[in-house]
Amino acid sequence: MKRLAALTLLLVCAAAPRAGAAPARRVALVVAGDAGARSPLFDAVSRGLAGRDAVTRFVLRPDEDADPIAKGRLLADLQERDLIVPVGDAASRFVTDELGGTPIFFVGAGVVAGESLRERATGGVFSFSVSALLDAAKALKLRRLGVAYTPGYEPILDLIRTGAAARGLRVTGRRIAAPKELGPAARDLLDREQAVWVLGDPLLARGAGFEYLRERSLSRAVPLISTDPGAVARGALLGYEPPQGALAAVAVAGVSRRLDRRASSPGERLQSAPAGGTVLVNAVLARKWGLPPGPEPGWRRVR
Amino acid sequence: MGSKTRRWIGPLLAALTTATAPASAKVLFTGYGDFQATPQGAYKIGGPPSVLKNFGLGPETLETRGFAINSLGLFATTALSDRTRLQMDVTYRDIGNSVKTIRIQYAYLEQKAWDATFRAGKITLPFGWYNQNRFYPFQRPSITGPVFQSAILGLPIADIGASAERTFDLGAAALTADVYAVNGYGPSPGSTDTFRSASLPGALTISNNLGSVDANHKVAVGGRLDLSPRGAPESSVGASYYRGEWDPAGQRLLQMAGAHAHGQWAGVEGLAEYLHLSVQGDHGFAANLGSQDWSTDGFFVETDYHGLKPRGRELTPWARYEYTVSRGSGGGGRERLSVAAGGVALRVMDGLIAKAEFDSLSYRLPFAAGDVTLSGYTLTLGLTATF
Repeated sequence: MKRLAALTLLLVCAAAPRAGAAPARRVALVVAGDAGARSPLFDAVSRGLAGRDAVTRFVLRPDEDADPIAKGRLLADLQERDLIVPVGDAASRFVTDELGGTPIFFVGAGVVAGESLRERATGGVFSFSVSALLDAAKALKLRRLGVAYTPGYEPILDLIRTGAAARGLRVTGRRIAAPKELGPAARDLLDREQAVWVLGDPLLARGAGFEYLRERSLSRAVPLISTDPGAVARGALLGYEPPQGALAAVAVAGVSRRLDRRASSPGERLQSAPAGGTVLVNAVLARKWGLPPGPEPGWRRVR
Repeated sequence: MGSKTRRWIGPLLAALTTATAPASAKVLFTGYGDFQATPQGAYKIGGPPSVLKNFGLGPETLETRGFAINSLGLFATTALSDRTRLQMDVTYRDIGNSVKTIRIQYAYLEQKAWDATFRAGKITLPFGWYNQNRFYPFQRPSITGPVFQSAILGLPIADIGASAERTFDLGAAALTADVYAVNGYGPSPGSTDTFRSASLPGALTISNNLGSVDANHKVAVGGRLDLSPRGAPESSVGASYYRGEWDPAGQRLLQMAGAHAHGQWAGVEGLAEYLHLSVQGDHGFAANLGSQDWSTDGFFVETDYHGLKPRGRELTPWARYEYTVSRGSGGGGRERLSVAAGGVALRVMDGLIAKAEFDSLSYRLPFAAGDVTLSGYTLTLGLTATF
């Protein structure tokens, strides 16, 4: 009996340091393969996280869906981490689609499914700046803004409302919960507002949904503001490219708060990119619609 | 065990479990589906009627057309820790009103330690290059694999045992060495002295000889060396070896040896594999090859081109040739198989590949009364989806 008690005590003491000590936090930094080779943002975030915790870098192949065995291994490795930090749109989309419910902090994504944002475990900093785009709208004298958003984007809508109020702009939000609601919502916003801000759910920001909004926008001469910088070349009037260094700094601070479990409210979970980047303007559309001449300092025309 | 002792065990187990269990160990599922359609296939069967009737055939021409869900596979992966992973593949085949075949292709625990990777369970043997890299339809542009490997040898070659793998940095190249010990091949099911029976291609595969328990008191062993140049990690040359007694008494030896070369340059991917089988004391094939001791030598070469992207979709043309001959140790008849195949694969969208393939086959199996021949062609269309 005494021998058993001694053995028990020995085994519990052997296990106790592992149970009581704070385990090293393991962070997965993920970037898409086509961007990985030339991603200043990924490099900046990587440098910012260096020296703290255990950071492992993963580069996604362009055809990650092609091999389910390799994909399963990758997802199993990612899921093991305390926090997954996808950098850029492609990596963020892959991680949020495949690993919902796992702690994720995306960096520099403009298009993220709203359903993913509703998960408490998901947070991040977007690639667009609410303040910079509101300033651009104001400079173009677009004072009545409609915001098309999907469930999950409510915190961003709140940021837009707060920023718009401070600038004397009026914002009307229209929630789109299903594809069938897109048509009526688009008609409603484009009929009444001077510009429509399309928040970055793939339903609205990509594919057939964005094509529909663009066509309606062109026919009504009502500009679109997009969270996806690539959309400016595809028919949106305004977009935004964030300053990489400042974005990386915000991201590193956000990752630290997440690891320390200090960010819990939706407003803290989801952040807008810092101002000071480049506002993208579709020069053809601006000229076509007779918008005030520009550009402002820090703007870039896209044709 | 006394009551006082029992009182300790509960808290002890609870403490150890809490201290050692991972925070979460979710299982991730991925998978694939493979659908095939045969618009046209025609094979001419020739040979002595007295021999052919044993297969339920006569000298005739068979035509084939039809659809099939070739396989549905589910891969389960879970990471128990940074270095430990559990992986499993369950494949459903012969899918009709019900599923006739449910196969565990592999199921093993993988542990990384001391710069090596250890696996235990049902493992895909590190033999050749094709077995581990091209077995699944989503791993290759072709619909079918080389006929000898897939229809006679039976891919994947997977068995119950353990393996170890380590890569050595040689500076200009990396050398990966694998060693394994497995139960090994046994006799043909229901027999003690037959390893392989004469049959037309696809009828009976040697993989049916891999049982859930060891056929004898001896363990089969083997290994592979694979050399990759530093600047081209996708390219490699290598050699493989397997050795094990197959009969219940553990007296009759089966050996397999292989060599492979794989490379990619300017969008052209090439693969060549050579295979040698040596079997002792096989009554099953003795009547065909004139000896209980026989050997097989064969090779296949395949070339794919990856540089075409019409409308942004990857289009991969490919071509393959294989030749295999089996002979007895004392002369006698020879089994011969030659297949020429070619086709294209089109990545329609992420997770979906459409394929087309044409195969032309010639097969000869010797019998005392005369040779049985099979020759013909098949046009096959396929869709492979991954998720």
